[in-house]
Amino acid sequence: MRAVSFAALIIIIIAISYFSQGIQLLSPANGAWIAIKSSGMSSQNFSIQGLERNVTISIDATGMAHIYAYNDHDLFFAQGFYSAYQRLDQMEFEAILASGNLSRYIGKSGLDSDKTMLLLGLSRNAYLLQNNLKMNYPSYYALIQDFSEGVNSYIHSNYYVTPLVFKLAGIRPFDWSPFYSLVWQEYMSWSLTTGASEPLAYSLLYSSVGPSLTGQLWPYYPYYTENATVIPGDGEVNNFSLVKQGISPSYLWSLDWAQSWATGVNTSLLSKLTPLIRYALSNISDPYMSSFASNFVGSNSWVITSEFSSTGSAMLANDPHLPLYAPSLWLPVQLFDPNFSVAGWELVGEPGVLIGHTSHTAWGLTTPEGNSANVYLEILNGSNYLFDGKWYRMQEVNYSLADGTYTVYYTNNGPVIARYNLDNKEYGVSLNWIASRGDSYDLIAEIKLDNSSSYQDMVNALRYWGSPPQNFALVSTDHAGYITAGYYPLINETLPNGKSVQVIGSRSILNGSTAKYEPSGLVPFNYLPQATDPERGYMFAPNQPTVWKNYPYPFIGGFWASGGRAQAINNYISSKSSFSIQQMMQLQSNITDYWAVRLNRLFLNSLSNMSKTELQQQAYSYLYSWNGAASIDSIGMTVYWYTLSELDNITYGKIYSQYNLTKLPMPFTSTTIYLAINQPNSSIFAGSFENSVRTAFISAVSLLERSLGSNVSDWKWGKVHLLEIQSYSALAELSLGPYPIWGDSHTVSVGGVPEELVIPEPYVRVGSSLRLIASPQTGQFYGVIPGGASGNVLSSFYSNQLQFWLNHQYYDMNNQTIIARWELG
Amino acid sequence: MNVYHKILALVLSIVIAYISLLYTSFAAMGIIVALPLFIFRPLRSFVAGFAISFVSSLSIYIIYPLSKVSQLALILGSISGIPSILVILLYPILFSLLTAFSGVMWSEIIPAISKRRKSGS
Repeated sequence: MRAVSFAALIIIIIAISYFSQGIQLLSPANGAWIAIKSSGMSSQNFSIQGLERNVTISIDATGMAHIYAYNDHDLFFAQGFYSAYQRLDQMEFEAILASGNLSRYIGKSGLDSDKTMLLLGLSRNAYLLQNNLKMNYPSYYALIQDFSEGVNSYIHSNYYVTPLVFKLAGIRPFDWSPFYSLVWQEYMSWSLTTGASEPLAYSLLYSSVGPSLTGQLWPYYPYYTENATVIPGDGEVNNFSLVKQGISPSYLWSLDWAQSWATGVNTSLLSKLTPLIRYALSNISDPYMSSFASNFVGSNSWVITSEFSSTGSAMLANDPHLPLYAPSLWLPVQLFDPNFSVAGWELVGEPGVLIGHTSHTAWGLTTPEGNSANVYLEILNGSNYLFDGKWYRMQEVNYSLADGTYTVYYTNNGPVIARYNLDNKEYGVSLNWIASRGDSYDLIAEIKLDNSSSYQDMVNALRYWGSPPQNFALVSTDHAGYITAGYYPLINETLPNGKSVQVIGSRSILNGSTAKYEPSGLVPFNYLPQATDPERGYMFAPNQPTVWKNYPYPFIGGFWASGGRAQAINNYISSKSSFSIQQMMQLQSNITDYWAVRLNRLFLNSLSNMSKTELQQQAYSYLYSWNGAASIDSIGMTVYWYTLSELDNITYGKIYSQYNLTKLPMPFTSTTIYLAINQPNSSIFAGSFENSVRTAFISAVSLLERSLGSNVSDWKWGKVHLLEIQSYSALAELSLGPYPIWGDSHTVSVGGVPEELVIPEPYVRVGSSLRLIASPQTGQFYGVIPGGASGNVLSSFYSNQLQFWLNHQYYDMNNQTIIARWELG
Repeated sequence: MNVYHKILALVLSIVIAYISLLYTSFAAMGIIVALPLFIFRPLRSFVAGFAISFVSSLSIYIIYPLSKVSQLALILGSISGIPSILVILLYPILFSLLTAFSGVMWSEIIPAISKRRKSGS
């Protein structure tokens, strides 16, 4: 061969070798294809180190793992092993995100998220909590460690298969530790915490539009929520109330709690500090996760007493509305050893079962929306802050990030989340979050719940629950009830009439430069909102006001949901003489918008005499015959929704844009109904509710025509309202959907989206992350999640439960065929 | 070289191909796979190298269910923007081409060195 040809040959070989570097991922034996290996659920034996005795994991046809061990160590170890097998990449991603290390993995685009996590102090809180657990509760800490050891046992075993996302991103797994379980607990806690962004947003609105309009738009208690609180009655708990402290509830709730007597902050200063408040709001919003899901987290739960139940045994329903990820935040498991017999769902990465049941008890969680954090206005000077007339040095905590050192400053209240100079004076906003105390022993509470055999066991378990406070729906074989468990910081307030009262949270930002508004303790456990076996036979907790106005510790910082779901649940249950499991399921699948039924009547009144084009007349006819159900095929729902969105836009939207408040949440639909009935000529409606509705309807029909065509029968809700269950990796190929989806923000079976004038609406990305119906005494347990047990997109268990979930069907959790058996030893 | 040597070279090449496919993810291992093929003339070495590497790398897919391979190929193809069939064939093609060209290279180099040594001795 001539030299030239030979040289060409060498060049070709070098070129192909060079190019082939980039395709290692496609190597048939060691590339991405190996993900196929972990996509099955067949029976197998695992020989692993760390177990004291053999463990059996039976996997049933739904994908639930039933883990049988001889002792607690092996049980939690095996749970860790199984969790890692199914969800290692998800667990590690969550840990990376929460601990502020995202940029180390995805580069500079993760920096903003990292800064938010570090600013909030999630890692710091988790370390503190870890140390406290180790020191004060070593036996419980040991179980968390056992779980971690199980995870690491999988990572270092011969059975480890690199997850697809790790392969694609070139990531190697890191060793798990209890810290990562705790930092994810902190993240979830933060995502469900009320008291940071809410008072800041209220401050913005208040300082912009004044007390009167603020009171109308965002009342302390949303309109029409009386008689629909979580705890029935006037608010008295365990024989303690406002009245018993000599305080009139009507007086207390007539006060303006954003005034300086209540906050220590001059309202004229507040209006000058709006840039500071905006910075604070922006800095505590996680830019990574907010791209996935808007702020629509909420939840439903209700309990039925044995007297009201058609089976004669207490029943519970729960469906927490959380971001719907693929794979799900939840992993279905049953844990069984001589001490534990519990089934339900693990919050992935956390040992134990967070929502589930034993053979005697069942429990569920919803968010109560009362402040467990507070925001404070600080006076700063460089590295110092002013407190009670003296300057103190702020604590500095430095973090090393890809773009340099990131410093978080702490006052006595907590991290300074924003700073701003005004008239040569420096101000800051600090965050005093209850989780930063490092004593939220939620995992102890969870493990104790998993081990409960009576109602009192569950109540006692919840003495350990700290942050975020949660409405715990509890049923046992003989009792049903609620307790809103967790740490609520109290603030001492002196009312204008001179009387003192301890309140929960604030309406607006508090003065941090004086001891007067510092937290002065926590709501005592015995006076947390709670009730057992109510006379009427049921209770419900879909994020509506927890208690009514005579509660001894007023929820000044109570930023409740509108109560539409609460009203729907209350109406449905109260219309029955007794309640069955099937009715529990029917209610959980209810897609009628309670507010829409009422507001639509007002819409129809306003539109009936209006002269309409042919198209408008057709749209009106659908609206007229609509029953308020947000079904996929409903056309009335589409017309209603866009009319409502347009109405919000030309009323509240106009006010918001005038004051640059467009990022604030819109007032509730119940507010619109109240104002339309009681103040139809309000300036909010530019003098006429009727005219506003007509304008909104004309615009909505025009928008729908432009986007969907002039055939009104095509304007189906499922065309404009779609669900996407997004992969946390943000890869569309690993996501599920989009699917046409029922519901809206106010339906019991929720499908929340913002009221935006776009077609289609932004994807629904928050919803019922699981559904549970439980009746311990009769041994009936039903459940479903919008996904499956596996985190492997190639597995049939990645989304095997989704169709059931979409159809509002359930799996009988007690009666499933075992399809695979794993022996660990 | 007799037939026995030629068969031995082919078997050796196949064994190295499987070892490199199962234990590494480097397509450049095709250069080593081609080494025993030096005993063939360049064109035959090219054809044998290509065939051995292509068939052996494709055969690895047999360890997986075909439906899963196809499902993953669609996902990877969608992520990378290339047709799913190419996702499956790209590695085998590059691995085979490297083996084939390397076979030609070894067929040129090793006999030449051997001849020079002989003439030198």
